[in-house]
Amino acid sequence: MKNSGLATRLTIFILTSTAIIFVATLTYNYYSGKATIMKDALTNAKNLALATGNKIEVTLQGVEKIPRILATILEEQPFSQKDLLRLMNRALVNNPEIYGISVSFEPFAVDPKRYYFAPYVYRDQGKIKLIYLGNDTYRYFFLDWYQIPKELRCPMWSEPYFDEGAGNIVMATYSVPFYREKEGRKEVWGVATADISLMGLEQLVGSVKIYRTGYAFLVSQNGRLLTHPNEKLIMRESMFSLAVSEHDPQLRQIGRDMIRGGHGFVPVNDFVSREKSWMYYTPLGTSGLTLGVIFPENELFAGVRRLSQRLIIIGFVGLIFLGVVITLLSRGITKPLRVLAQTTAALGHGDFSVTVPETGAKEVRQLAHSFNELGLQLTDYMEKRDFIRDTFGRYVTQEVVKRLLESEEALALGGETREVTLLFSDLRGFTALTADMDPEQVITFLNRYLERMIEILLDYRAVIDEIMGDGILAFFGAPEPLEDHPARAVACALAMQGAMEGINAANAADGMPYLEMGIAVNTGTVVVGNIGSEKRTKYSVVGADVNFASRIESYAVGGQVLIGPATHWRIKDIVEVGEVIRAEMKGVPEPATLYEVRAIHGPYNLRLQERREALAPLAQSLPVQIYHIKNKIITGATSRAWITQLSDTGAVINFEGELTAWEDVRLHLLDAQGQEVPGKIYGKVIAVSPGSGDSHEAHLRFTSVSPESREVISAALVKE
Amino acid sequence: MRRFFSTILMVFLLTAPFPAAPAAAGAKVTFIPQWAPQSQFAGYYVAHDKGFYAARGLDVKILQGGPDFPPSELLPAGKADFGTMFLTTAIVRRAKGSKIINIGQIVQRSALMLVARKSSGIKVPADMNGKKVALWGEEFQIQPRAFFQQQHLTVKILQQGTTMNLFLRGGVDVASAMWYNEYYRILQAGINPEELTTFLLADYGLNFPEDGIYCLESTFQKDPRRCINFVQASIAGWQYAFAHQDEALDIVMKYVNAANLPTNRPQQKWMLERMQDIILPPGGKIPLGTLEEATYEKVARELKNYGFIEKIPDFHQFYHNCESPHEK
Repeated sequence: MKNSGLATRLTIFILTSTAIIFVATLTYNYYSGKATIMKDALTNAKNLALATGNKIEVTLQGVEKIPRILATILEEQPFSQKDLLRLMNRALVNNPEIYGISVSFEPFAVDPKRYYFAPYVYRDQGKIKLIYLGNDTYRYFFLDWYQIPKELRCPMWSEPYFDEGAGNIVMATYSVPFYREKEGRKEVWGVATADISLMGLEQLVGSVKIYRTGYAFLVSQNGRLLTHPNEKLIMRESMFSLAVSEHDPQLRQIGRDMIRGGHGFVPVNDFVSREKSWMYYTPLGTSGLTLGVIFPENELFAGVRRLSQRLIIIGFVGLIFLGVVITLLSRGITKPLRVLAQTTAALGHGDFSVTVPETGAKEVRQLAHSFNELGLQLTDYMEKRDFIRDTFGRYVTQEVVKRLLESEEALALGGETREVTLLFSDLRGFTALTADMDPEQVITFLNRYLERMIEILLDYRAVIDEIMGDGILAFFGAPEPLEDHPARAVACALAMQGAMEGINAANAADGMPYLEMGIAVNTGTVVVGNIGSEKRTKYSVVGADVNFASRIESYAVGGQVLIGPATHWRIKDIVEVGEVIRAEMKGVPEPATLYEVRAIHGPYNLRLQERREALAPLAQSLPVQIYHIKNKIITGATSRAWITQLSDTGAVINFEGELTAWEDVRLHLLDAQGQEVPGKIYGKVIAVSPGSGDSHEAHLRFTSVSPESREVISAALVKE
Repeated sequence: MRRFFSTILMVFLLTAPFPAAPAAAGAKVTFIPQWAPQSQFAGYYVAHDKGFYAARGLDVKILQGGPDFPPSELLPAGKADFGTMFLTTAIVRRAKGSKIINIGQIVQRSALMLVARKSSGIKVPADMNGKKVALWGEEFQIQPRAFFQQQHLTVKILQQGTTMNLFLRGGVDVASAMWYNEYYRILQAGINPEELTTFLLADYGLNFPEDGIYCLESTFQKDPRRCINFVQASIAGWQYAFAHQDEALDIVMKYVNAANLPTNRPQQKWMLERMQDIILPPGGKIPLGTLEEATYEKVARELKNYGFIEKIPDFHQFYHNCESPHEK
């Protein structure tokens, strides 16, 4: 069920509910039908019993009349034996239903010499015969038909008996005691009787037919079966013997009620067929007989069963039809849903171009429309996302992008403390170099440089923290941990310096100035994380070591890679160090030792191109004008100065006036007339020593040399 | 109602027996039980149908008995060779000169009882005082009368007919009944056992053994072997009937149906079970077929007391043990 479709569920639920309703209705119909039939059957049985009973009673009453009249006559007036016999004869002739009539007297009651006196007229093969009853083997005083009414002093029907003369005929005798006065007491004088064959009743009762096998039967006062379709039961079995044979105590109870003159409508098992049946029973007047009517349940309820069977068939066919209709209907409804599901799966696999037809029921149409909208929006969103990812990826590594895209936590503000290696690079004198360029040229010029640098940085898996004009801040070791981040950063720096030659070649071809870059690398513990507000966030680093790294950068001259002590300590075995600089830096209490890296061994194995750094004494010193620079602003100039020794990267200058160590300066070469020639040289005072007289000697390192000045320097060096 | 076809019926009955199961060419003998076919005689019917008589060289023809054919008269008249009778009946006949002898006492315990309705207020013997009591005639009155005497009761005695209807219709308060027959007929007329009070006379020291097998002295003297065979086959029949009650009932019902009797199988089943109770009473030690002299004397003395006989017939002339080995 869990995995079944909507159509199946609908079908099952509706069919089950319908089936339950149907079964309930059918059951109700069946039982109410049965109840109605039972009611009808009971009425029917009552009427039938009443009709049959009436017929029997009429017959019995006709018989009862004769002994009653005889008894009355005998009590009322004296009679002769002849009169009595004539009377009896006439009564028998006039009442064909009567088999025999007797008037039996008490011992010696008529003739003092006759112990027995009991004339009996009866039918014998169509003739009426007379005999006198009573002898030593037939002492009628002690027979039921005489003794019981006499003892009870009331008229009564005998218990039916097999007539011993006429064979298999069940007879019953109605006896009426008559009385005479003797010594002031009313005493029984004799008993007048009339016998009838119960065969007549049997025919009457036997003619009652109920349905196909239903029938009526008579039960005696002792519970004996007097009539029954099965002749073997007649006179032999009683309600009580049947109760024993059938092991049915209930039947005994019914039998007891029957012989007590009760009536009822009760379930029984038929005595012969054992079929479940219903029996109605009712007493028949004063005869002591009970009429029973058997209704076989099968036949009684045949009609309602047949109806129910037909209803079941109709219902079953109806359910099948309903099932087909529901299946078709629900398939129709769910088809768009299935299409939608397939399409959604396609969508899930990245195919945003799929659409579903907007047809069918209103709700389905709306759903399809919403889905198509969703597809469009998703496509739009994905395009935007791809754009963002691509753009973003220019500045950060794929790792950061991936991390940001895949993990919601990655976007959470906050950070972690990490050891990373920081890389600062900057072009020497870029601002001055581009001061005269038009903006487009500046961008082309700058981008050529940045493009290449970023490429290298990303190759080395750096995170580019910031690009400020010509300056780049990048770091290694976060967010993805890189164990060799110091070596990697140094190698990256060397690669960047190495790439400058190509950039300069391209620049020269375009008539653009020569560029020199200084790089500082330092390792330290920083806080990395998403810095900013929810509106604008940057994956960045903060900490004292970041500042320290930027300070180191200011000591680097063009083409140089300077590393801080922490980095040096970590990779000292694989780096080749050139110059070692002790630098005093603002905000750093002790002078720091900085190392100029020439090469790195190990897996990276990179080396910087050799540069002419050895100072060559000039035969003729070059006059220069020196400007003091503080925070990129010219604050003043020295009076006179001469370059006495020169290299590609630095110079020794004699000067008058003031210069202090680690001061930034700008040099302008002067011509013979003392006029500044075009071109500028930026540099840093490394050391100042007192010279002869007023002049002092300063050791200078170039940080940036303009192309014009480069030519002059080269010319001077070649001259030497 | 009437009995005028008795003679015709008797001829019919006497000539319509069942043939012996295995058609053995044995000595032809006739046997008459003292009543119509019923389980009271199951042992004889079984012995006949199972071939126990034939196995002992007897070709037995069982006549249908009934109130009109008392063996006490048929035996002396030579109309039957063997018959059954109550011990009391036989003693009375013997005392009156009939030459009948007991060759096997089958029923050891009396089944005669008095039955009363609880609704007529009878719960203990004393309650019967002054009540109407129906009793059968002759010897059937000995035990009840002795009982009334024993209990110091005065009752109004009425002659009891062949049915229980007088009692059932309330014509009398008390009626006599055989435990195996009439008592059950009362139950089968819809009265429940708990509605009845019963007095089994044997429980009051009045145990008169009932059915026994009788023949004439001359029959015995002519061929004692034949008598012994008849008694022993009959005893075997009883033992088989008790051991195979369903089969015995089938046999009894065959005779019952042939005689077209108004009875039924539950009635006959009850009777067979009670016959076992009185033929082989629980705890009884007397071998089947034996009449003890002490019992005989006691019964005969009661008969004499009530004036049924003047002189007690000699036991040894009355009874011939056909059961114990020395007689064989």
